Amino acid sequence: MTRHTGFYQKTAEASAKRDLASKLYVATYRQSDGRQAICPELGDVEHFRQLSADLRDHVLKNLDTYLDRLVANLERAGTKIHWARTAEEAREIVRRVAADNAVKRIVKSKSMITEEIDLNPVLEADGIEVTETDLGEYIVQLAGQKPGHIVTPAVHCSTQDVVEIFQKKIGYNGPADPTKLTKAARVILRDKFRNADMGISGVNFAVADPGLIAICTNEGNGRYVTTRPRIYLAVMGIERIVPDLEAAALMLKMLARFSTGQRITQYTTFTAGPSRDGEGPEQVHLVLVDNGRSGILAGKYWRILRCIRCGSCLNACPVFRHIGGHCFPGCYSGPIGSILLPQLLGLDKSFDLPKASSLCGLCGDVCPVKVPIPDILLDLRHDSARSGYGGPVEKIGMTVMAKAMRRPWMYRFGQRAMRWFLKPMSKNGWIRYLPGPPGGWTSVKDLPVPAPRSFLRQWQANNSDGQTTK
Amino acid sequence: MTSNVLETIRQALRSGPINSTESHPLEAERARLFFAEADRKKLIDLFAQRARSSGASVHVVGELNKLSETIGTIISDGERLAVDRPDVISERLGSGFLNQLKESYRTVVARQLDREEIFKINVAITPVDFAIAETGSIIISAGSDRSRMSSLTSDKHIALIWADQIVPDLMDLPAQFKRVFADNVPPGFTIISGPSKTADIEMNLVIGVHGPGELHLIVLLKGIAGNPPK
Repeated sequence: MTRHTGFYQKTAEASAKRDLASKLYVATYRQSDGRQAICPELGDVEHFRQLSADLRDHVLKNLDTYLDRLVANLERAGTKIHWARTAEEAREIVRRVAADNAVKRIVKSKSMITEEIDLNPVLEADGIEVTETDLGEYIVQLAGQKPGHIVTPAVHCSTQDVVEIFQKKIGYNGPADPTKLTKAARVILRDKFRNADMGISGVNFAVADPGLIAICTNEGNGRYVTTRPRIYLAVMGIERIVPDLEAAALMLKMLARFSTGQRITQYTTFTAGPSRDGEGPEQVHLVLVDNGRSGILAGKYWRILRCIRCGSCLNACPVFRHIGGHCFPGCYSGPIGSILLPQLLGLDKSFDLPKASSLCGLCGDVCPVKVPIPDILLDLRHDSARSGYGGPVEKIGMTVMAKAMRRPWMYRFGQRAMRWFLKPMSKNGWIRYLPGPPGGWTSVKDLPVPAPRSFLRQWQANNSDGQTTK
Repeated sequence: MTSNVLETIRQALRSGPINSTESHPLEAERARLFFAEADRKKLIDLFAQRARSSGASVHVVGELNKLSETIGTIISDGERLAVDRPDVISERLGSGFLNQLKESYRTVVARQLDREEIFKINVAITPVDFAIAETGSIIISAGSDRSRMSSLTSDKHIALIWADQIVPDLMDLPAQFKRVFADNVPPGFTIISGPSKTADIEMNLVIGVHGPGELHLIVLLKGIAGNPPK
């Protein structure tokens, strides 16, 4: 039998939820439409994508140099730098900073890296109140769920879902109106900001020179988290760096346009270091997390590290639009998740992911930094077959197929044998059921009966000189 | 631990498929959409159009009376007004204007508010460091003489932009940053490009989540002011 990681089962469950797909459609199409409406004003979009890809490559090729510069410049501004090789080290660093400063209440701005290192549970276990302040992330946190999308975490929740979550968790008793719901959250979160001892965010970009930590939010929570509490701590993957403000400007031009179809997010907040004047944080910490990234950098899939987490490939993906983000065995989902998670978790726990693709190639076309997602999806399928994750049936089938493709007589014989084998199982020209492993196909799709004469024979008949075959 | 991660990265770069180091490939001019514009009116129009499309209100004002009038339409009775960088405002617009604000509204200076009082203001008036037409953005920095909280905690944010503070493209950010701050990098700054907003509940647009629900950008034409504040 074909082997599965559990992903397969989860996608089946997700696609059985009828309302999930419609919610995902609204969100992903809205964002895709936004991207398509705004990007033409860049003029030569391909030119901008290439500039951005080249820039990301340059950074990755000189990552050590730029990290050195970033660290030196931020330290000069008074920011404390921490290095973490693993998720566990990163969690310990944050715990220690919180403990050293007797932190009781933390406000967080939405961040994928803190999801990746699974930060909240260890802080909560230490008795610290951790509040997500991005509205979508707050909803998901109250519901005890995980984010369903890199950019819009509550994508799987309807307005009615939010009403029920708010009723249960924060005593909401208003109508099912997004504006009223948002205002209810605003009142509560404003107090959280006011009373928090520590703010935590991810990092959209760190600028090496001048040393700056940049985060983008539309709601303004990023400004609160970086400005109000007496301690601000940012967590970043080591690859999220740009050389200077020129490069930051280009990345900002691309990020929001490709993500939500805006020209720029409403607030882009830069932090160099602690405040020296009574407004703003007294301490600023930056945790630089490797967690497998240097391994990716050393391998053939290093271009994955170009990714700026805009979510564009999720919005474009016909598979993601059906299954959403919760099926994936990590916080990253969609096409980028399918190529990134195998690097972070190992192929043995994720060899199914690259198969969640129709290979339509849209994910590659909509990527602002030209991550070659479709190529990597194929290469990873190759890797997983090589490692034997396809199971014996696939292995035998593919071996026979490979042999037959190289021997025309065997290929022709195979075609005839297939027709002879399949014909009796058909009804009105369609095959609705096949026994054994091929049944996986017919359980969701009907198969047409092979034509009476193969393409090859038709070709030979129509081109009687028979040049193409021998 | 420091050398550990960096050393692993260096090793990865030595042993992996990528090892070439090239000079920074980005020429800022190649990433521009808008170039320096001789016609300032066109630049103001672009700024206004772009800012409006992200939800801001834009008022272009050429006289001091008109400015007072505009502010009057924004602030409601009884609302608390926090003024930021009053020195800059009175230097550019005259101390009479500042006094008039103090007489007309419950006015305080933003940086004189403590950590609790800053949450009790309704309207904030702030000058800006500079503005970008392409994205309809303003830049506000942190520093001992200015407030970064008032433009966040208020319900309405009024930003005063001198017309010649507007530059065409986001790619102008680095040069403006240098011009305004020289080598004194502020502890922080924010690019503000519209009111606080979200679409996290079924993609329904809601304005005024954590930050101000109203952003009023008042562009002051030349007759009203001289050079932009440093």
